[in-house]
Amino acid sequence: MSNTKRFLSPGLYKEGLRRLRPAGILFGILGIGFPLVELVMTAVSAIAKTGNPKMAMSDLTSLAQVVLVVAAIFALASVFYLFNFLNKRGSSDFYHALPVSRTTLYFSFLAAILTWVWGVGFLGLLLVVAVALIGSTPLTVAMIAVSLGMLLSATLFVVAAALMAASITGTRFMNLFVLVLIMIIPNAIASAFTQAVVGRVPSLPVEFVGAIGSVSLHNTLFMLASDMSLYGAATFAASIAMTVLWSFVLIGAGAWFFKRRLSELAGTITFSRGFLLVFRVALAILVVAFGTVPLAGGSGTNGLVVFLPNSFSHPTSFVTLLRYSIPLLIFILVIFLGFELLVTRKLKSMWRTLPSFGLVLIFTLAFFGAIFLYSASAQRFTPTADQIASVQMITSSYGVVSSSSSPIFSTLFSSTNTPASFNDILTRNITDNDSVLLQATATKLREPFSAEDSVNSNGDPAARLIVVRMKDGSMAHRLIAIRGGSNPDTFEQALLKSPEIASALLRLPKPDAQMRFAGSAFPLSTGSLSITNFVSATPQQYFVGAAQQQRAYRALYGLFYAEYQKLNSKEQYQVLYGDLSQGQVTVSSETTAVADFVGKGTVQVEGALGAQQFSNTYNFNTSKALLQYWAMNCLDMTTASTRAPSRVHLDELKLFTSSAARGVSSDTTSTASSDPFWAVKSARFVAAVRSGGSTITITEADGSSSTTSIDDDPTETEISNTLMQRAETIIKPALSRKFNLDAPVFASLSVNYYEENNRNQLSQATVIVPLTAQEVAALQALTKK
Amino acid sequence: MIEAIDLTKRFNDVVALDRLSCQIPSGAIYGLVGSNGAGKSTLLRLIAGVYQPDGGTLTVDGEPIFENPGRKADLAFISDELYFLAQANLKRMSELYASAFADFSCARFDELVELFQLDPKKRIGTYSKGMRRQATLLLALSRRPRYLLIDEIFDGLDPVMRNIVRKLIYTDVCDRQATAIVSSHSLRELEDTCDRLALLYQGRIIFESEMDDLHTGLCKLQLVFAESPALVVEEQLRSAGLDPVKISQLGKIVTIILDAPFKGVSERVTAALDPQPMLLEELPLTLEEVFTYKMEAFGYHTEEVLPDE
Repeated sequence: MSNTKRFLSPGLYKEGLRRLRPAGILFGILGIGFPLVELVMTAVSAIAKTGNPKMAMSDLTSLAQVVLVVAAIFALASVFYLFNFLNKRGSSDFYHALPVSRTTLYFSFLAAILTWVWGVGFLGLLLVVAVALIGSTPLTVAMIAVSLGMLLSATLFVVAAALMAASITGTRFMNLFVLVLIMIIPNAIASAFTQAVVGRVPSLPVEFVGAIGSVSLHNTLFMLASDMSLYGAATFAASIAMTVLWSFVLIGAGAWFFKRRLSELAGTITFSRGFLLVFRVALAILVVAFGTVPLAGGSGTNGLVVFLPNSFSHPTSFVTLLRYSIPLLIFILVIFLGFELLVTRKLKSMWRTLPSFGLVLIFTLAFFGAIFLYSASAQRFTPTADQIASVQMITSSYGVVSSSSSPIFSTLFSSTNTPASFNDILTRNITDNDSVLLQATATKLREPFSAEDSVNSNGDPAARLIVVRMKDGSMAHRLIAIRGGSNPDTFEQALLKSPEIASALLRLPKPDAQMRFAGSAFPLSTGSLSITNFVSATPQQYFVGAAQQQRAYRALYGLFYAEYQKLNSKEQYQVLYGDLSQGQVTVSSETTAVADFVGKGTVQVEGALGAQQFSNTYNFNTSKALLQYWAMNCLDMTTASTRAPSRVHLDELKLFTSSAARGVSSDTTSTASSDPFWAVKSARFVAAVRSGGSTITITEADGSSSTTSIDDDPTETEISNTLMQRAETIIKPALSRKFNLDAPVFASLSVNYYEENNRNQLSQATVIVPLTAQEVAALQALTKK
Repeated sequence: MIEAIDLTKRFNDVVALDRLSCQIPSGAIYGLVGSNGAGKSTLLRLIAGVYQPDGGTLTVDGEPIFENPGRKADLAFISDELYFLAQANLKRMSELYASAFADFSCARFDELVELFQLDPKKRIGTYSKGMRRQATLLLALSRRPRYLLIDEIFDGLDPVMRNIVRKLIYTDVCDRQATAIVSSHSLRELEDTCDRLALLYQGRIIFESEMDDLHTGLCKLQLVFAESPALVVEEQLRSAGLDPVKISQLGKIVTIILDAPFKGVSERVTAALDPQPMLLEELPLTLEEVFTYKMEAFGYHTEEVLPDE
């Protein structure tokens, strides 16, 4: 213990471990317990719904984030607990009199903290991985490595920042205050700068506003609060490396200050008045940064809304600017002086700080100027094709609104981040220098882009994030609007002409055992639902089991995949990127005909590629897949009526001629009248609807919910429940037959699933089936008096 | 040996130690006495390597102590502000000491726990002030350090415990040639403890002496006369070559403090005086009296230098 050059003292390391044991056990329980509780609760819910707890074990990201948050809080608590001796004279005397160098003391306790924090984090992550494996979540070694890297680096950063804060201050309040400054100042300034710039230049992606705006990418802790789907393995690796480097710098600086720290600092604010000046100015700068956002033209909700109305978002006149700058500066001055008064409790020293407010004014001017200069420079970025060296696609689904407005904690505690699409992960690794694409890029960059362009008419993301590399070595990230639909615009066409990009854009993930599926093929069996005014959150009984559904979806996707491979590239583009709001995407006449009758289905595919999870939702519209999807609808209906004959009832039945039936589907291309020539409804249904249950809210397994209105159609003839039961018997064979496009008559069946008292609907499914002439006659006979 | 040369320590604008110099030999009990703010605790913290000097040098066995783990391993420092782990008992504290100090002896710890009759499993937070002091002393003494630095050594201890602590320190000093540096603001507390005493005032040692020298350098005589003597006593003594530090008279009783050893002084005083005293008695001086007279001789006002006893 007497060696001055030694970095670690085994005795002190063990003592550190011992001191942290109670907290370590507590946080260990939380780190493992939180995911376990979340898991058990989801599993219980899944068992109630599906009988299959595996369905719950799906969300690796949210569980891993809980582990990270627990580990980060533990890291913070550990540093302030173990290094709290610096804040009290008695303990400071004891530890500084120990026969070890201060460096040894610092690193021995640091090692003990990291052992516990990383141990707790590692165990939690191990649990998450185990859960993912049990639940068959798509998972790769690279994903685990990235998660582990992020966990270790983010917690290391928290420890480093807290150590630095503890080393240069002497009270608990100042420990925390300085920690907050160290942790958030770089990010807050970068974030405020970014928000302000993006407010003025909407085509700039908020994550990539120059080197300053990308600060969050250099810190894994803050990266978690951004849109993770934008980043590839290389970005994660770079971020982990930067975080570790920054942490080492802080640990090194902390050690330097710790070694030079005067023992008599215990219980006093900080090293010197110089430090206090730095803290005070830093605090004011923080307020300046956020106060400047709305002034500079960013979103009003991100600034000091207490002073600035939300409507004030794009100031143009100097007078307006001045009008809002003055109260802001007064507010900052109050904070500036108030801080000094709070920590020194001396009015005299408060007034003495006034000259240093000049530093804040200088920063404010510089910050404000930087925003305007950078914005102006970004707006001028309209290169010609000759100047562009290459283009790279980062994502085809950039959501400006969602990614910039998510607060850190809601992001950390919920899995609001949608995984990247399979094709985005592929395309972001491609750098293309095709001349047609470069020309199209130059043209696209001259088109105006507004925040509204980031979503299409369906509310889905519709902006491409691209990286433009210039021949002079510079590069820029920009957003461009996707003009989808049946006729891709020049840029999209140019993309498809580049073989490498086209291949990546149009590739479907190959079916594999890790894939998981979701969709709407089993409306009576999927999701929990509640009826407004009547029943809330009644667990839904699954008629078609979860495993069976997965098998069926897998087969459906296999069919879709096989059909897709046979399409040409234009058709493939339409299948994957066609904008339904702009009209029916025609893949083939056969597909169109099937879609006219049965509508189109969607399937969500989740899988893993490299270090990332991907998720794609396909509006598949190939004929065999559509018919398979229809068969799945029918299977759901027959299974439900077989399993619960007393609660699943056919309630509405309409007969259409072949041409009218084409108009029933919402995806139809037909303009023919869709009126039925014969329609009946059951007495049960009439009673249920009239009693007030006219709206049902259906919550799907993926969390999305939709509302359906059930109205009593006066054109339908009411028949008794017994007669309707007879109609059901007549029509049942049609649900098991192959779909006949040439059938003379088609029937629309509306089946409702009722709760126990047989009055209120819990779920509803509608399907169109082709009928034979005999079946039609038998049905019509039911209403003949 | 501990040696300080022109040792200076400042806290912002306050000079806590002002070019202090001293030598503390090994195998002795060195007492630091002085009023609050005199610099006792600061000196002890500097010797313990807790504080870094702002000026001058401080060496322990010839080496600077600050950031010198090798030398600090020989020191045990008990601050005036005691430190215990939160919620800890004595047993847990012994684990901390065992982790932090290679020389911590568990056997010695067990012995001392027995001696002090403290419950090692009871939370220290529930101990009285005196018991906490005992606990710290016990832990420090379990190391058997070469240098024992104790600030406010007897603070909170009852007379019985003071004796026990004294004996333990004596034993360590005698048996192992350990050095104890103890401080107190009370002279009485150190009177029967130290071999050498230093009086600190405003960051400087204004007086330092071996205890034996202190007691042998001055003598106190009480004389009773048949009649109240005229103020000729001082004159007669000075004529006889005796140097009275102080003479006070109360009726027929005269008390004389002489700057001379006791040996033979009674005879010399008796011979010098006319009329002769009816009774002459040699009285012991308290340490406080010795300090008072010495300080006054140096021109200090005692009430400034030493706190009220």
